[in-house]
Amino acid sequence: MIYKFLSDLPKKDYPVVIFGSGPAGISLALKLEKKKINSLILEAGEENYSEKSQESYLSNVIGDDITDLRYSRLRQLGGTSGHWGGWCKPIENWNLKNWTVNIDKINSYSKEASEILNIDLKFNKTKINNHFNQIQFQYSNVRFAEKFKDHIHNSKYIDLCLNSQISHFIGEKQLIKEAKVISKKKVFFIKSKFFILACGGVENSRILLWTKEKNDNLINPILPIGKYWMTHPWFLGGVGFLKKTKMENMLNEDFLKYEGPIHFATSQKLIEEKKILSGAIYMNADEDNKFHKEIIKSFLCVSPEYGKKIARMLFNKDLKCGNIFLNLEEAPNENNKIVLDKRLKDENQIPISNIHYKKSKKTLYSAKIILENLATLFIQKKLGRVAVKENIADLNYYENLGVHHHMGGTRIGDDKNNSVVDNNLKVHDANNLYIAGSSVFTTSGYANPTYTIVKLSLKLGDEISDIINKKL
Amino acid sequence: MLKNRRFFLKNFFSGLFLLNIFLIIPYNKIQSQIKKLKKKKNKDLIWYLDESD
Repeated sequence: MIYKFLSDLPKKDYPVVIFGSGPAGISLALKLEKKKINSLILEAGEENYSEKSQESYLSNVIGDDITDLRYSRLRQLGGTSGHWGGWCKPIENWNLKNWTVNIDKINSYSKEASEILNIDLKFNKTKINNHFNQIQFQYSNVRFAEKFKDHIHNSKYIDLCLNSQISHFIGEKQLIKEAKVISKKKVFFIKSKFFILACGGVENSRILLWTKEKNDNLINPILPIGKYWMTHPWFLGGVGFLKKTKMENMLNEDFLKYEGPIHFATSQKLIEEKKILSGAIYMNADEDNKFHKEIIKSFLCVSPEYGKKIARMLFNKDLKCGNIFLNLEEAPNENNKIVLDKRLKDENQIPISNIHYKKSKKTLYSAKIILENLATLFIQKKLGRVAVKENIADLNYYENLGVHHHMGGTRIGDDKNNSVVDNNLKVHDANNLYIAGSSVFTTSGYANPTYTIVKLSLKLGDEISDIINKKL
Repeated sequence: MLKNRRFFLKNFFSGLFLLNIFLIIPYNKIQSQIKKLKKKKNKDLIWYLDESD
């Protein structure tokens, strides 16, 4: 059933309570439902978009510009899947090498995750040379609220309550006893055996930090809660043109045909050789002729003879020609962190989050090296030409086109000095508190996070049901 | 004399042919491999070019 307020909920006794109804929370509840385990999802927002609810994401950014959380997150049923782009891609196995979780174990949930996200389990990759692969994303059209609202409404095992904001957990001696929840300005204390925080890449840290402040001995003080926060810098790296037929002929049957931009990704060899961070390259396939002409004009200025030949190719539409965007990995940095504001609180008297964020020179240096190597590849294989923005590596010229992926803050690991949750996503030294969502990512890789978020939630569902079944 | 001249020309051209195969062609190939990228600026973009562009 779906309830509007916590006061409407007839039953208050659930073995598992999940905070947040985004992809992480709903995927987990669906997994528990398969195992016939009851769960309650508490969603802080309403069923649909509300500006008032979005105001809870008010936060201060100290340092470099990131997109306002009120625009990049959604506090409503289904969470940010209500307006996400739908791009899905598994994190490369070599990007997961610093994760302590078994990679095969995560990947064993790929099929189940792809069914939730309505995507094909086809993430083909074609080697172009030692440094680059052509890669394939899958596009998910799933809005979790639309897809699962009726299912949850009719479910015997899942109850969901809207307008219910968690403030903090209460407990002692490593055991959470209850959660303080505010619904329609009334305070409720929800008891359960298992508490799962799935509120998003910033909120998870905020609630955990507030829990730490409100309890003397519940959360281990050495845990770096909120630290190692990461995003995927998304920005314009340059322009270029690519002879599509030439590339198709070069790769033969391995050429990945799909609509939209051509996607390249750095290989493990390139990042190891050059000591850079990984990245995905989106070569735009925009059919805007005016913009094509601008690029060809720019090229004609530097290479009149070859430029004329290329200009002729515009007419037979064999050119992929346009902007080159980059989605880059960011190195985990202890100083990029979420902390609680000391003065400002939201309407439920929870301190708002302050995000300390600085881009690193290494990120932009990586962008420069990646595009220089792409330019070399295009020349050597006679695929086309690339132009790189002159100031690409200069932090002062960086233009954020949208930072929507929020990762880290409660990362996975064995060492309590640099991680918050263990391999089973349980908060270190807290017996019944778990975290789901991208805040547990140890490193970010270059891939969009949602597919991995869903896989980790499914894995967590199995862990919890195993514990419950053992106890029975 | 004529025979010697023919012999000389034959050897001369076959020598050139061999030179061509063993020196000139590999040399060209090596040249193409060690070609450095040209960079040219247009507005705030740096175009990466082949030497022949």
